[in-house]
Parts: sequence; C-alpha cells; structure tokens
Amino acid sequence: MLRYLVRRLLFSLLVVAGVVTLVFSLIHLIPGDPTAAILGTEATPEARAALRKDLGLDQPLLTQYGRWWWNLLHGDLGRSILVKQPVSELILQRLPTTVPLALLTITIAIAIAIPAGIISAIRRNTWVDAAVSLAAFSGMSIPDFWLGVLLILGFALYIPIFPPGDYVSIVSNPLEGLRHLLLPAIALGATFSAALTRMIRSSLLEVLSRDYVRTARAKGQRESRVLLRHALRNALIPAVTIMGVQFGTLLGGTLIIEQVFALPGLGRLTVQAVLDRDFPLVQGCVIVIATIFVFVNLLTDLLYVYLDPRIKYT
Amino acid sequence: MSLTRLTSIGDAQGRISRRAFVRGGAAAFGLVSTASLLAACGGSEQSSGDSGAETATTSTQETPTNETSPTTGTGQSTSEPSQGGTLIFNGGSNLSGLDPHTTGAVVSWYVLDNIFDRLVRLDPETQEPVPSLAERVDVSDDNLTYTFTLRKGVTFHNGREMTAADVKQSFERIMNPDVPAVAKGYFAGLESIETPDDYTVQLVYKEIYAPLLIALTRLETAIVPMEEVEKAEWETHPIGTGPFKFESYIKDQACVLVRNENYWEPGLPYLDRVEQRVIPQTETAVVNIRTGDIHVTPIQASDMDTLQSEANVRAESFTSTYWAHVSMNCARTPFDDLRVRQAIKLGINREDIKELAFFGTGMISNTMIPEGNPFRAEVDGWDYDPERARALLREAGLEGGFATKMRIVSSSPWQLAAAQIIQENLAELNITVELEQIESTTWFTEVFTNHDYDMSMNSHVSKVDPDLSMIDILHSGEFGTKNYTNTSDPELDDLLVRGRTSTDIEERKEIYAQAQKVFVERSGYLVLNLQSLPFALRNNVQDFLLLQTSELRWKETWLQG
Repeated sequence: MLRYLVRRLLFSLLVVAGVVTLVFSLIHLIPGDPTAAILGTEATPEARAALRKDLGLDQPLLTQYGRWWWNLLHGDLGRSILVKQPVSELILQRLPTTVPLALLTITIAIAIAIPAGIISAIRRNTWVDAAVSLAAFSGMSIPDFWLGVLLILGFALYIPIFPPGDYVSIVSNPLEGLRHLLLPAIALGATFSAALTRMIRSSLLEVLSRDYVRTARAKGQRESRVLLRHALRNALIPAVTIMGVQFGTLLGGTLIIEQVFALPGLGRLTVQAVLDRDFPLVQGCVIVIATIFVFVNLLTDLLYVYLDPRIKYT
Repeated sequence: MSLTRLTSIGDAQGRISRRAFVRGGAAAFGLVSTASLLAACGGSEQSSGDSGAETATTSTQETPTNETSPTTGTGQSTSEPSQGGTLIFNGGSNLSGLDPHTTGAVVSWYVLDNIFDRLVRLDPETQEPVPSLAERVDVSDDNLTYTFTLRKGVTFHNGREMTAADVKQSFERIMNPDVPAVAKGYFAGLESIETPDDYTVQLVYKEIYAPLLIALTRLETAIVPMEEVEKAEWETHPIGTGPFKFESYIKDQACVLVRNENYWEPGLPYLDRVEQRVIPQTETAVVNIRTGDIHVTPIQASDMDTLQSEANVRAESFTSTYWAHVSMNCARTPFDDLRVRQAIKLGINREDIKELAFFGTGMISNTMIPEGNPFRAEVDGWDYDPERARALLREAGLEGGFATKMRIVSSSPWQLAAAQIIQENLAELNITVELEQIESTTWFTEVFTNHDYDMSMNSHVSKVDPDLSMIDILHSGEFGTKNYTNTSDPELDDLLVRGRTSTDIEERKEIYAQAQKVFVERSGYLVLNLQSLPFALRNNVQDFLLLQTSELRWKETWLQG
C-alpha cells in the first residue's frame, strides 16, 4: 500500500508538471500580453514595447519558463503583473471563498442525491421515481448561471432572505459567510446532485438485484438494514467515481457562478488572469487547481479501499 | 518679453462655484457657453486688452456663461449636502493598475481621479481648464512659456507639502524613457521646466503646442510625490493630493477610498468612504442596486426599462466621449480604394444599428467629436444609400462584390449585434463579411499593434481638445502613434500639424472643421454612434458627477438621509 501511495504521488507530480507546461505553452501561443490590459486605450506600440521590456517579457520563452520553475522550487510563485501582489497571496485570498463553496456544493449535492437516489430506486417506476427523475433531468439541463440569476431574483430580491452576491469571509463570520454562499452552492450543486442522483439510483437498483441482498432479506433482516448496511455501501462505489471526476467540472463551474454572484473566488481569478494574459498569475492558479484536482482523485482512489475490502493496491 | 496675464482662470480659491450634473442636456448648455465664449474672445473682458495670444482653452470668470448651469429635473442640487456616509459603486471590472502615469483603463481612472490632482482640471459645464493645483496660469505672448503659480498648503496624503519640485519631478518621470507613461506625447515639444521658486513652475516649449492646458487636466499628468514613487509599495498603494486617500484594493472584491481630512478644498469631500466593487455581471449589479446593496452602477441600455419602475432607483444616460466605429485597413485591398471605403460607409444602416445594437441610446454622428465641444463640425456624410454605394462599387470595378473578414471584440455588448447588421447590409452589395470574434487583448495585439485585419470595430475615446482626439490615430508620420487604419492623407497630415501649433481659436476651429471633413470623407473610419453611458443610481445619491471624458468625481457627491 505504501509503495502504491509513493508511486501515485510521484505520478501526480508528473501530471501537475505536465499540466503546467501545457498551459504555459498555450498561453504564450495565443496572441496578446498583459501590456494591453495595463495600458488600455493608451497602448501605443512604443509604450507596449517599453512595458514588455520592463516586465521581462521580451526574454526567450525557455528562459522565462526555466526561471519560473527555478523560483517555484524556491517557494516563490512570482508576482501578478497587473496587481503587483505576490501570486501566492492572491491565491490564498481566494481559497476561503472557493473551498467552502466547493465543499458546501458537494455537501448539498450529496444531501440531496443520496435520499433522492434511494427513494427513486426503492419506489422504482412509481410517480415518486418519475418526479425525482424529472427534477434530476431539469437540474442537468438548466445552465447553472441561469439558475444562479433566477435564484438571485427569487431569493434575494423578491423574497429577500439571501444577499444578492457580494462576499463575507466565512473565516471571520461563519454564519454570515455561509448565508452568502448558500445560493451559489445551490446553483452549482443542482447539476452535480442531478447526475449523482441518477447514478445512485441505477447503481442501487443493480445492487438490490444481487444474490447477497436476497440472502440478507431471506435471513430476516429489516429492509432498512439491508438497504443501508449492505446495498448502499456497494452502490456508492460508482458514485464515488463520479464524484471524483465531477470534481473537475465543479472547479470549472465555480468560475461561472463566481462571476454571477460576484464572489472573489479562485476560478474568477484564473479566468481574469488568462484574459489579462497575466502569465505568473495564470501559472500559479493552474498549478494550484491541478494539484487540488490530482489530490482529490487520489483521495477518491483511496476511498475505494475503505468502501470495498476486496480492493487492494500494491 | 512680458508675460501677458490671461484672463484669470478661476477665482481666488480656484473653486468651481457650483455643483452640477452632467446630462445629455449639458450639450445644449455647452453650445450656449461656447457662443458666449466666442463673444468674450472677440470682446475685451481681459484686463490687458490683448487680443493676440489666446489659447483655445481660455475661460473667463466674467462672462455670463456660468449662470446657465444644467440643473436636474429633481431639483437635488438645491438642498444642503450632508457629511459622511459610505458610497458603494460598482466599477464593473478589476483595476488595471494604480499608477496614474501608466494606466490607461477607465475603471482605474474612476479610482485614481479621486486620489490624484493635476495642475488644472476640466470644468464640467464649459469644458475649459480651470485652476486645480495651480492657482493661476500665465501664458507668454509667443505662447511658448506657461507659468503656473501653485496653490500653497496643499499636502500629499503622506503629510508633506506639494511644491514646484514635485511638479517638475512628476513631469520628468513622465518623460523618462524607462517609464511607460502614456502622457509622453504631451511633452514631446518641451524644452525645459524651470522652478524659480517653491510655488512657481515654468514650462518652456520649443514650438507652440495648443492642447497643452487640456492635456494637463488629464489623469496621466497627475502630480505625484517622487519619494513614494520610488518605494516598492507605490505599485499597490498610491499616494496623491486628491480628495480621497487610498486604503486598500483586493482584486475581485473592492477598492476602498477614504476621505482626505486635509484636502485643500475646505469642506470637501462629503463622503467618508467610497467602495468601488467588482460586479461584472450587469444582471447581478441591477439586483444589487434594487436591494440597495450598492449605490451606483453602470448598466446596459437594455436595463434602463427594468429600472424605470423601480421606486428608489433612477436610471440616467450620460453623454460620453466614446465613439463607436467601424474601421477599415487602408493598406489592404480593396480598402485602399477610396470609392470602396465610401461605398461601404454608404451601405451601412446606422439607424438600425442605433436601435438594435445600442437600444436607441447615443447619437449617430459623422464626426467623432461630441456635441457640446466647440470644435465639433457638422459634416455631411454617410446617410444610408445603397444605390449610391452600388454605383461607387461599379466605378471601382467591384460590382460583383468581394469577400472580407471583420474582427470584433467578443466582450463588447454592442459589437456582435452591430456586426450582424453590417453583414446583412453589405451582403446586398455582394460583399460577404465573415465575422471573427476575438478577445480584447488579442484585438490590441493583432489589430491595433500589428495592423493584421481587413475590417474591425471598436470604440475610441475622444478628448476635449481635437488634437488629442485626432492626430495620434490619423497622422501618417511620427505623430500617428496609434494609426492602425494606415490612414495616409497629406492634406489631413498638414491640417493636423497646423491645428496643434496654432493658438488662434478661430483659426483652429477652421482647421479642425476641415480636418473633420477629410476624416469623414476619406479616412478608414465610419463613426457609428457617439455612445451614452447608462448608469443606475439610488435616489439618495446627490450631485453625482461623471464628466463626458469619463472622469468620475466623488468630491462633491453626498448621500441624502
């Protein structure tokens, strides 16, 4: 197991390095550099050239690439070209928004999906099942940014119980911060929970038809015990896979939701950095997001060991 | 050579004596002011009686123009302003930088215009430069020496008094080739800067530069404290002399300004704090203003109707100096043929574009200079006429049409709609237009710097002085630093150079009228719309001042109740 872990970690490092290299190449291949965003309408070709030189952007790409890795190994992610603050500081500022948002989204999604999935499985082909399926498909079809705007209109304007965006740090004021994240988490969680519900339903149906479930019933176990102790745990395995993979989509989704709700999150920081061609910031964000994603996938794989004792890693 | 005293710019305290809103109606008042101004120039309000050396930017306190201040329909300017309060404003996007000398984006200007002062500032009603940090401006007979008498007792936010040395050092920084300052062009003809004493600065030019005083009203010529500029914190913490001090900026959250207790204008500012937030989606911003979470926000023209019925919010459209246009690369076939350019201009239906892309806001114009500006010339131009367009194309031998590409900016709210209308219009002339949407940054690199395009669209900002609006985009030589349409017209070049070196206001008007005529007839630009900027404001926001030049002044704004 330990060998497996070490191997996985090394592999993860390689993956992250690969992602960073790919993004570095891509962002330098597309036309444009940060001078356009900084100088705006006053960007004469001379001013841009002077600024580019000032920022060290006229150096050969390989030099810039090498220098960035060298700094990284010394723990320095560089400074944002537009904002002039250290990249690590900017990213750390965003984590208290994006991480709670992602966690809240997953929690809401699971809280909806597990009961919904179970109910629609055990009440298969009844109106309950149909209702849940309808809700699930709607959730998957509605674009999350549209849902976000609808939620703002509904629950921030017409029934003013939630704030229409804006940000309160969950670290400094947990209850208020949570209130600010609830609508965005619901908007984002809708799609996620829908997919999860369907997955749990079909996986549970499959498990419930297995022999060992029949055996448990035959032995006289209560249905609820059969369900929760025997069936669900096995049914969750494919669901966990989905969650791990969907996490990537979740990271992407936070970006759009952050725009709609005006939340100062990591996704928004990344996209704005790309649009501004703020190279150090882009690379910093990408390495953080790639690391999170790789880490989550590793966790997912390790979770299997807990869920299914038959699975052993060597 | 004696220094001729210009009729004084401003009163002893240098204050603009009334608070005013900028509205569409300001255009009418601008024209009235101009008419009175012309009368004044011809007359003899000046104490010295000298009529020879006038810059276009003379303002006289004695003329009757100042009584025609545009009032709002709600009579807000008549109540007493109350002190205090925090105003929350949606800037829409993140700041592009905090250095007044090097930043070119309007969203940064909103913040920096309140942190930094310049030697002179623009009077919102008359569009003339009036005293700011300089109490007085004297111009020599030959118009080459400008003497600024500085106000005493002005302090930077770090406590130190501003002196002539600061002005000199600020301008030297702008001229420094290692600093990417946007105002460099204004000082190109400068011979020397003298500081005979702590409160006097003299700018001596080699040749006449008529737009100087207007240029010195602009943010990019702000007076900065060099000892702060040299520190590393300068890039994240600007320090100036303005009515508000910089407190903090957190990207995607807010930039916070606090009241400058020691501002040189007594009693101002009224607000304690201004928070400029970043809410990029206008839908969210509109909800925020309805709930009262923010006080002021830019909105889209399509939102104006939604807000009309809102009780506590008013939606207003401010004239701006943005001019939306189509551009053609005159260095590429077939746009190098004048007839083709003119045919395309005739073939575009600007009425439709105004209705559909601009939701009926703004103004169709042939020249880029807005109403209210004394230099604006009404030039006949390109009313939609597909028949004439076809005739011109026939003459040019392109009756069968041709195919071309138009590159537009994807983040712009109006470009796609306008481009699609143009596509349809030009299809009737057998011209196939392929649309390509690109990012703003890409536009700057490929279209603006590399001139790699056939047709394009964008919106430029004109400045109060016509030289500043025209020469950099139209001159074919050294002054055309932003001439990405590759315009090369000897008559235009000559007019533009003469315009910037003449100081006779009548002569300049004639020159620029002719220049605008050439611009309309022969350049690669077709002005689509002089844009209005719609804003939503909570009703308790009083004396909101957004100048036509997009300078946002919080100094005299206050919150009622």
